[in-house]
Amino acid sequence: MTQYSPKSAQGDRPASPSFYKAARGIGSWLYTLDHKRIGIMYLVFVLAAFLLGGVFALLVRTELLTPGKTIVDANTYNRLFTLHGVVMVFLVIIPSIPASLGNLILPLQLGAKDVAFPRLNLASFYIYLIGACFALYSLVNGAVDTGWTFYTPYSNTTDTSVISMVLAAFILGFSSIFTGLNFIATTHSLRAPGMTFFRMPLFVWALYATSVIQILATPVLAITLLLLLAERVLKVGIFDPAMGGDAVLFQHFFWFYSHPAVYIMIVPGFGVVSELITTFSRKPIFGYRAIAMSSIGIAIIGFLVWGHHMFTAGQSEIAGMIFSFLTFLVAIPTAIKVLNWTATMYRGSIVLRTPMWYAIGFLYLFTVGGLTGMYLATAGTDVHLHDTYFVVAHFHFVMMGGTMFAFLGGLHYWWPKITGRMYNETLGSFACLVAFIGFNMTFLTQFVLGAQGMPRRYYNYLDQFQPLHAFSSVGSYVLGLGFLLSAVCLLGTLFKKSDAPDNPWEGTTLEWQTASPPPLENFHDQPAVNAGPYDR
Amino acid sequence: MMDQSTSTLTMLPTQASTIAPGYDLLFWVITYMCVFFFVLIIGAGTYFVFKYRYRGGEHRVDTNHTHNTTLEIAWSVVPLFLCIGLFAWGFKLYLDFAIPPKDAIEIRVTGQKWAWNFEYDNGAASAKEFAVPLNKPVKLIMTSRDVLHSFFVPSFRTKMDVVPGRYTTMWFQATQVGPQQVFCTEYCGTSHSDMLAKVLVLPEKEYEDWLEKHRDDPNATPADKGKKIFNGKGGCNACHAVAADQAIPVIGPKLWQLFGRAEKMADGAQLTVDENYIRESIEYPNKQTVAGFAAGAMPTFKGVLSDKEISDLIAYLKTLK
Ligand code: HEC
Ligand SMILES: [Cu+2]
Ligand SMILES: [Cu+2]
Repeated sequence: MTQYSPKSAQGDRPASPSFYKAARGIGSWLYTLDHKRIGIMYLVFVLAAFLLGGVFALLVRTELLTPGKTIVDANTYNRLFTLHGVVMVFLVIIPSIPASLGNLILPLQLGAKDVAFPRLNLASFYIYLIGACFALYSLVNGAVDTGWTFYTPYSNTTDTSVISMVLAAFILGFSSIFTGLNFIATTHSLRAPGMTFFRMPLFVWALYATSVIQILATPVLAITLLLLLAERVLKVGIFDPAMGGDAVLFQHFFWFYSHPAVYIMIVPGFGVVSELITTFSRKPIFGYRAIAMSSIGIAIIGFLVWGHHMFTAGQSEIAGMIFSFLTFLVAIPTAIKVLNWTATMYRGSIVLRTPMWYAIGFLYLFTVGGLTGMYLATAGTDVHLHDTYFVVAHFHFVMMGGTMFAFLGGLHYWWPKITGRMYNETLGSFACLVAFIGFNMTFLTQFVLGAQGMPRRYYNYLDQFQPLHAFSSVGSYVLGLGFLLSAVCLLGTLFKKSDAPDNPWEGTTLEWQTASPPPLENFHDQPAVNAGPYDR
Repeated sequence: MMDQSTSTLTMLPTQASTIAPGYDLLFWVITYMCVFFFVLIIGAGTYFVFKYRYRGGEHRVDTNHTHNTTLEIAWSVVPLFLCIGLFAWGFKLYLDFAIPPKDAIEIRVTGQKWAWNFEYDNGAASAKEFAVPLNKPVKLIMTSRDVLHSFFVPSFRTKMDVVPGRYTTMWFQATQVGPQQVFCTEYCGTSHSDMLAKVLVLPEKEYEDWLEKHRDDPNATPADKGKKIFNGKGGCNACHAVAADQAIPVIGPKLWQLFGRAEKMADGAQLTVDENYIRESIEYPNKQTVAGFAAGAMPTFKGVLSDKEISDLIAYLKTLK
C-alpha cells in the first residue's frame, strides 16, 4: 500500500486552506513560487494557444474545401499552415503535459512540497510568455510562411518575419530546458521517504525521461536557430548555397532536435495514459518496469533516428539504411507500452469514466499512428509517401490523437484535484466521443489522400482529391465541436461550488491522498511510502 | 488532372513504372500487418473493456496479473523480428530506387520557383512537360536554382529532393504510355502547389520525333555549349588540357577521363569525381585541392558562370574520353 503514515490518515487531517485561499490578489499569482499556481498559469496559456492553433487549423481546412481559392489567397494560406504548426508545436504540445500537468502533479506524486527550484520554475514560465510574445509579434508583423520546419534556403530568402518567429522558438526552448532541469532535480532529491525509483508513478518516469531529452536536445535547436539568424542577419553562409552554405545541413541540425522533440511531445502522454489505465482498471499496471524502462529506451534511441526525415533528401544509401534500422528499433519500446496498457485491462474492474474514455481513445488513435509509422520507417515505402498527406495523417494521429488525447484525459483526471470540482460525466464523455469521431473523419481520410499522391502544404490541388479533402474538412469541424464541448464541460464547473472528494477515482498515487485542491504545502504531514505506486 | 484511373477511394495510383508493382506489394504487406496487429491489440482492448467492465457492486480484485516474463519477452521479440524483416525488404526497395541502370538515358532537370526545366543530351529542351521513352530506363540529374524542391511522380512511386548547389538523381522506367503527373513535394513558397509538370511516356518512335521537335539549335548540345564556355568565357583551356596530345603548361590537372576517376586530394582524402565534385571545383576551387597542385591557383567561377553554364561545362567534361 502506498500510503501515509498512520497519524495522517485521511479522516483526522486538520483542515488547512487550499492553495487558492492561502494567498489572494493578482500579486499572489504573478510572483508565486508555488508549483501549482505556476502549473495553472501554464495551463491557461497552453489552452489559449491551443484555441489559437485550432482556429488556424480550421481556417486551413476551410480553405481546402475546394481547390484554388476558397477563402484566402496562397500567401495567406502558407502563413496559416505555418502558424498552425508553430503554435501547436512550440506553444501547445511541447509545454502541454510537462509544464502544465507536470508542474501541477509531479511534486504531488512524489510527496514533495514543491519542485526543487521554485524560482527557476517561475522564470521558465515568464520565459515561455516572452517567447509567446515574440511569436505574437511575428504574427501581427506579416507572420511567417516557411512551415514550422524553417527549411533553408527558403527561410533565408522569404521576406516574412522569420527573425522574430525564430527568436520565439529559441526563447521557448529555454523555458523547456528550465522545466526539464527542474523536474530532474526534483525527482532525484525530493521523493518522499521510502519512494525508491521503482516506486515512482509512471507519470513521473515519463516526465523524467522527457526532461532528459529536453535538456539534451533543446540546445541543438537553439544552436540551429542561432545559425539561421546569423545567416539571415549577418549574411554568414552556413545553410544557403548561394552564400556557400549547405541546404541539407540545416535539415540534419533541425531533425537532430526535432525528432527527439516528438518524444518530448509523446512520452509525457504515455505517462498520463499509464496513470489513467491503471486507475480506471483498478488494477496495478501490467509490466511496470518494462513501461518505465521503455521510456528511457525511447529517450536514448530517439536521438539516433533523425535521418528518417531525409530518405529522399539525397543522403547516402548507407545513412538511409542505418536510420531506417534505428527507427524500427525505437518502435519496439513503444509497442511494448501499448501491449502493457492493453494487458492491464485484463481481469481488471474497468470503470468507464471520462478520463478512461480519453485513454481508450488514445489507445486506438496511437496504435493507428504507431502502426502507420511502419510505412515511413521502411525506407523504400517512405519514398512515395514522404511529404504527402500520409505523413500529415501519421503525425496527427500520434501528436493530436496521442498527445492531445492524453493531455485531455489527464486534464479530466486531475481536474477535480486541481480545481476541487467535479464535471458532468455525461457531457465529458460525450465530448470525448464527438472529438474522437471528428478526429477519425479528419485524419483517416488523409492516409488515403497521401497514398494517392496528394502532396502536403498544397494550397491548390487536383480536382480528383476534392471529395476526400471536403470530407476531411467537415471532420475537422466535428473535432472542433468536440473540443468546444469539453471546454464547456470543464470551464462550466468553475461557476459552481467546490464539491470534489479528495480521491474521486480511487487512485493509489500520492496526489489522491491530499485534499482537493491541495493546501499550499501539498501535504499536511510528510507522506511516506512503503509499496509500489499502484498496489491496492 | 491525373489521366490515370484513380478514383476517390483507390489507395495507390496506377502502376506506371517497373518499380511500382514491387512497391505496391510491400505497401500492401505492411497494410495487412497493420490490420492484423490493429485487430489484435484493439480487439483485445475492446474485449477487455466489455468483459471486465465494472457493473456495480464489489470490484473484482486481481493482483496476480501484473507481470509475465514469458509473455513480455515474446511480445518484444516477435515484433523485433518482424521489424527486421520489414527493414530489410524496405531497404532493398530503397536501393532499387537509388541505383539507376548503367545504360539509363540522362535528362537534366532544373527546378526553380515555380517551374521545371528539362534538357536532353541532344540539346532538346522543354519546360512543364518532358518526354521519356517507354520501357527504357531514364535517369534525372536534378538541381535547383533557388530553394528546395522535390520531384514526385506518384504513378512511378518515386520522389527525390531537388537541392540548390548540388545534384541529386532519380531514375525510373516507364511501363505505360501516356502523360504522368509530376508534383513538387518540397514546400517552396507561393505557388508551390502549382509547380506541376507532366512526364510524357512515348513509344520509341514518337519519342525520337518529340526530341527532334524540341531542339532549337541542333548543333548546340549542353556539351557543345559547355565546350564553347570552356574555351571562351571560362578560359579554362588556359590551365587545363583536355587531350593527351595538347601542349600547354601544366597548371591544372588534366581533364580528360575526368568523370568517374578516383582523385587524391592534398589532405589525403580519396574521392570519385562526380557532378557534385566538379561543380564544387568550379565554384569553390579552394575547398578541396587536388594532390600535387597549388591551392588558390584556380579562381572561383561562382557568380561568373551561371548554374546552367556550369551544368553545360560538366556535360562537356563528361564527354572527354
Ligand atoms: C588559372 C588556372 C586555372 C583556370 C583558369 C581554371 N582552372 Fe581548374 N584547376 C586549376 C588548378 C591549379 C587545379 C587543381 C587545384 C584544385 O583542385 O583547386 C584545378 C582543378 C580543377 C578541377 C578538378 C580537377 C580534378 O582533377 O579533380 C576541375 C574540374 C577544374 N579545375 C575545372 C575548371 C574549369 C571548368 C575551368 C573554367 C571555367 C577551370 N578549371 C579554370 C587551375 C585553373
Ligand atoms: Cu523523426
Ligand atoms: Cu515546391
